[in-house]
Amino acid sequence: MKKNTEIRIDAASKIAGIEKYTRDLHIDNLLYAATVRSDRAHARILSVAFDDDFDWSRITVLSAKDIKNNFVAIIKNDMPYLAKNEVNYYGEPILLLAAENDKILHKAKKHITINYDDLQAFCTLNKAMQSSYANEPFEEIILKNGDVKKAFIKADHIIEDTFETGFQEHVYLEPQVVVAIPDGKTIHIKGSMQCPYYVQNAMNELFMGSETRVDVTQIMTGGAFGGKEDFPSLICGHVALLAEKTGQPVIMSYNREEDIRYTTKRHPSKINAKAAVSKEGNIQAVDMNILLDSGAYTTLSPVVLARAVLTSFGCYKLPNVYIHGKAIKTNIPPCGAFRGFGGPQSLFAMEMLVEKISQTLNMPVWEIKKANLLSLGDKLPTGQPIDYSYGLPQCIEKVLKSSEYEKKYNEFKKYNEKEAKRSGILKGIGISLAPHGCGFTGVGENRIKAIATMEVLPNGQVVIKTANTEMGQGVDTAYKIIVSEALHLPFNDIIIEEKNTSKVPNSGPTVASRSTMIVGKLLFDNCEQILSALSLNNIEFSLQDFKEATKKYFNDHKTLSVQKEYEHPNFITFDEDTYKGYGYPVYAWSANVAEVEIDLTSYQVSVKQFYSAHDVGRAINRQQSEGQIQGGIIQGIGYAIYEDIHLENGQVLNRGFRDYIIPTIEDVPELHVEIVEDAYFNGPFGAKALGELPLVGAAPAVASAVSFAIGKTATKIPMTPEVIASMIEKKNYEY
Amino acid sequence: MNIKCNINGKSVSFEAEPLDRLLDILRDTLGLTGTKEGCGEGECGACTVFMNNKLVNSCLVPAMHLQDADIVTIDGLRDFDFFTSITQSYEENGAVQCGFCTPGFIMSTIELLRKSNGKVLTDDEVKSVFAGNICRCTGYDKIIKAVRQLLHTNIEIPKRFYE
Ligand code: FES
Ligand code: FES
Repeated sequence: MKKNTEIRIDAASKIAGIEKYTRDLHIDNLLYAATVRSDRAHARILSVAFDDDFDWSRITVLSAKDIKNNFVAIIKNDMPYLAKNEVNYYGEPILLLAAENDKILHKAKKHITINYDDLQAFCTLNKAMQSSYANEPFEEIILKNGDVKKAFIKADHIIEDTFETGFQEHVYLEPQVVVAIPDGKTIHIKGSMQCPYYVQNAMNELFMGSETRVDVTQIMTGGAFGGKEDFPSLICGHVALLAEKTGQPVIMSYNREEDIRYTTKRHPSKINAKAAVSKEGNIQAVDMNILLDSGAYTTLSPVVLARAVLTSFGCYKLPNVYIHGKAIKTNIPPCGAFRGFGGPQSLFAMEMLVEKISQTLNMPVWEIKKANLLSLGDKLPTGQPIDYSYGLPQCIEKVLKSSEYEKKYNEFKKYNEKEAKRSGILKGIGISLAPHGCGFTGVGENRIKAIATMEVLPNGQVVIKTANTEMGQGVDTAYKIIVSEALHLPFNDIIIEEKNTSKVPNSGPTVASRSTMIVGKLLFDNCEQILSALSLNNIEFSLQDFKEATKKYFNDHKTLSVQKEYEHPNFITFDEDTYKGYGYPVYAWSANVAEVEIDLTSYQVSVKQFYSAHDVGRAINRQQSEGQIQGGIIQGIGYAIYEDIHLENGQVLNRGFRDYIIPTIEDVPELHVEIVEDAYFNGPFGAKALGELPLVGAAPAVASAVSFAIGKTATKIPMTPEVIASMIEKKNYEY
Repeated sequence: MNIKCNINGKSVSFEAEPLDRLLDILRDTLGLTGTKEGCGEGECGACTVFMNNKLVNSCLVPAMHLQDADIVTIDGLRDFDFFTSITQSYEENGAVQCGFCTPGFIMSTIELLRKSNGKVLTDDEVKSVFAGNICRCTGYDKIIKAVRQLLHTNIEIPKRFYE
């Protein structure tokens, strides 16, 4: 590959403010929609009353009674579009209103009274585990390998702790927004979303048996991070139903408060982990019990749990494991997809377990990691051999060197002993190693059978048709680079088709770090088909050759369109019952070193330096790859120390950016990012995945540095000042 | 109430309620959609505009303060020559991802260039200008690089941005 530094194609229009996001569209006769929500965590709805003295003539009201197929189609279809008899979380939609402006809606809401009969609510994982919810998990997974019992009997040390991770809110900068535009026959849905086909499928089920047809278009999306993967199906249903009822276009646009309080978030987790360890520090067995707090409905929890289980072994060679995962219902807003998708939770637990081993054995943590590190040819507990595209050792070498890890490790130890009292600052350096499975878990890709299409136009231009969406990560640019490289075409001759379900095939969702590796490869293969149709067998052909060959082709044919469906390499198999086989076709890897300071007066942690190296197979666009890595790291740092959702009886108390703190420019450390390229045979030009990995390794690196500084293993994120205080003063604060 | 003010160099007049937000007036009444809404509470900076030569969060400015005001938004900047340099440096440094925060960052960038006025600024000084702009995608590093590059180029910020 040559052109590795293409400027992203949408940058200029975004800088100038010309790029149109959903709320920037001009739509005539637009109605605005609002949601009337439950203010109980768990209750039966007794009645809904509308004040007689309010003029309802200008308001369209929609309730569960109006919906025939009242479920959001996803995995288990248990979540209704609108609650009918019972609400399961504070904020659950009960009614929809539409009117010509927001002000009337606001007034109307005050004239509706809902009467409830409260039911017992279980709003935390601890409470849910003592209720019937514990016996009916949304999903349960057991992964066994070797003889864990025996290993524990023979172990020199048994080291155990319980690790907790909190909620995380996506804080995409553009809040949720979708619009439905009816034209008599079809309802056209447009909006800020990751997966137009998820929405299309949900709409097909919603309107099953009726005349209504729907098509879905993704509009330029102002960030998503998983937050616009499953959630838009709910609000697209809302606007589609209102549009059907009113015959007019309807927009649903959340403000920040609504977005933060009622949309999906990262699953909180509670993970008990236990290791059998030899006196030399070799981990002989791990027994892990993973609980994910899933909120009120199933959403994507089964798959999030699967990834949590398949990430839990970190980058270590674990001869014996027993991993038991459960996704548990609670009466809080449903949790959903978030960059990393279960990985950040279980990797935090594993990395902190290693931290605890190092502190118990009084050996440097890096020594423990090194002693247990996977080598090329080793097998994961699933039986998956690591025998290709394993760039982790290079990543480690790079970060140890760039961070001067060993030198600082000793310096900071001395500093903390001698200077910390006087300066009031503890210093820490920590290291994390992270894997991230590329593409869908297990048999996911075989099920989806992604399709990508390309069409050559008579003038030699080429149109790319996929359902993969640009949400800031740079996929459109990456696709153009792949095609331009393979067909020797300039950027301007490559056109990206609108992400409209009636125009592009179903290439699967834009999730699971799969867009470049899986769908990018389909485009690459499409290019080969085009070249062979044009009889361009010579690798050195020029743009001129391409144009002439196209002209010749169109003398005899009407169209030149190629299509490719994804086929899994046939040795990559996975058994869903035993969790044995290839959890992922390949893993991407990272090594991370964080330097922190802890202020002994305020107990605030700040990250000063962050060194990171990622093996992404091949960086299709180096600059945007770095940008993804940097952004992911900062989100991971936020997850580790700042971002905290407060719940009271199942009610999210945070209302916006004032009380949900994410890193600002003043909080970011110096970022040192390096890229390692150990090519994957089945990715375009060798590319693997990149989207999620940077976030997965960040929090454990910071937590490792905090553990170093305090001399005690971090067991809980976010490490807010209260948590740090309790670590330092060994007191139990209520947090 | 009827309000007359100057927006992007043009004098405009419109009807508004005293508490209507400048952000909505720009976007809905005047169709200037380059300015974005991220939080609606003055915390994210996506809605940043110049008002009487000062940076403000347009989501916090009520219509009653707009009489005779001079407003410049991202939509009014595209035609200035210096905007090309800003675009180039953001593009070259990969400082844009989802782009929703970008118009706000660009406004703050202009403020910074105005402030620096040829002086070399420390990283902390640079960062303090962007303390009110949140970006969830980039990790800020590439934005800082873009801005640093601009500080090393000689850019004429037009007179109308000065008192
Ligand atoms: S929208 Fe005005 S500061 Fe966020
Ligand atoms: S580029 Fe997405 S918020 Fe800044």
